[in-house]
Amino acid sequence: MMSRCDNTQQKGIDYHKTFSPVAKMVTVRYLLLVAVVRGWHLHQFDVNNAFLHGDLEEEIYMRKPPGYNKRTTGQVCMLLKSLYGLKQANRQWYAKLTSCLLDFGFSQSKADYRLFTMSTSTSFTALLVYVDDIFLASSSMTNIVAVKDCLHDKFKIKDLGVLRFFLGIEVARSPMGIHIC
Amino acid sequence: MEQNSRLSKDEGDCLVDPSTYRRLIGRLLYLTITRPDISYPVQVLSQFMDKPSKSQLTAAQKVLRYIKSAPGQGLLLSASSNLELIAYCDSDWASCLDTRRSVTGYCVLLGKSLISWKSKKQSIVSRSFAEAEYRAMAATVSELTWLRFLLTDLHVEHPHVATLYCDN
Repeated sequence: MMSRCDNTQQKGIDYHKTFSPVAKMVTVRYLLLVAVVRGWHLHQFDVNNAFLHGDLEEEIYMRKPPGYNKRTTGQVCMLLKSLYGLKQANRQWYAKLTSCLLDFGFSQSKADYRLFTMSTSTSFTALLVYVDDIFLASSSMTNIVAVKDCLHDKFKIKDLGVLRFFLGIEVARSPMGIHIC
Repeated sequence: MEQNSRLSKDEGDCLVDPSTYRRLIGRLLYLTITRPDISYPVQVLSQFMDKPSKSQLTAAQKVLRYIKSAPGQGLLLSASSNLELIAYCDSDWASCLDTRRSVTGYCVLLGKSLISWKSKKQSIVSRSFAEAEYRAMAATVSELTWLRFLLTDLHVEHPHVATLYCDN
């Protein structure tokens, strides 16, 4: 049983694992470098209300949120999907996004689990995830649009266009290369 | 940070409010993502988060003055890089006054762009300079191995062996 302000989840009952990886900063710099050397397009977007998309494996109940007054006594909410504040929220979001990307045709890197790549005979696309911030590097603009459309269908994303700021780092592209600061 | 200064635990008066120091170091740590030049002082200063003293705060403020003297510095990821790995490593033997452990430092370049670096206290005491140096090399090689896996994932050919330069 939990409510958003006081989480009383117990390990082994209300949640099991909570670990969730994020991209390493080395991978970020490294992907930017490879992208600029190869002349790939760089785009970014973030996912709206990311943690609400996760599916729950456990049965979790929540006190009724304030303001919900229908049928007053003795009732609680059973959660069908993940909520912000749950211990497993991050992990479940990660699992959902991973399976969605794998279905789309991406393969997951073994060196950094938050790096996804997809290659065809004519194009190469790489996608890097930092919780709900995602950036895409691709040799083909069509692929970028296709990935964005697919994720927008499933999760509703906010398209931020060409990569300018990622995690508070300014990414300035010029013919010489990319300057990050 | 002052050159050759050696900070250690339990020196001078503890700060009454350590949270200012902790916040400052937290911000500096974030800055090391694009500023490799401050990764050594931040590595040293972040060891005193639990009980920072006046002298450590002064050293941290000196880092701030350094950043202020050259703001807006970042890294250029050059478009004309070849994609070959080159790494440099070094160690500072027994530089930690409290534990006598050594510090590893390395930086890895892909072509002419710097992409990975680290300054980190080694996990075990080395009894000789050479031992510390070998540990630094081992740490760098494991980073290089990892980076080669990443290169393969992005379909970047790396036909040659990665180059590692070390100090003897």
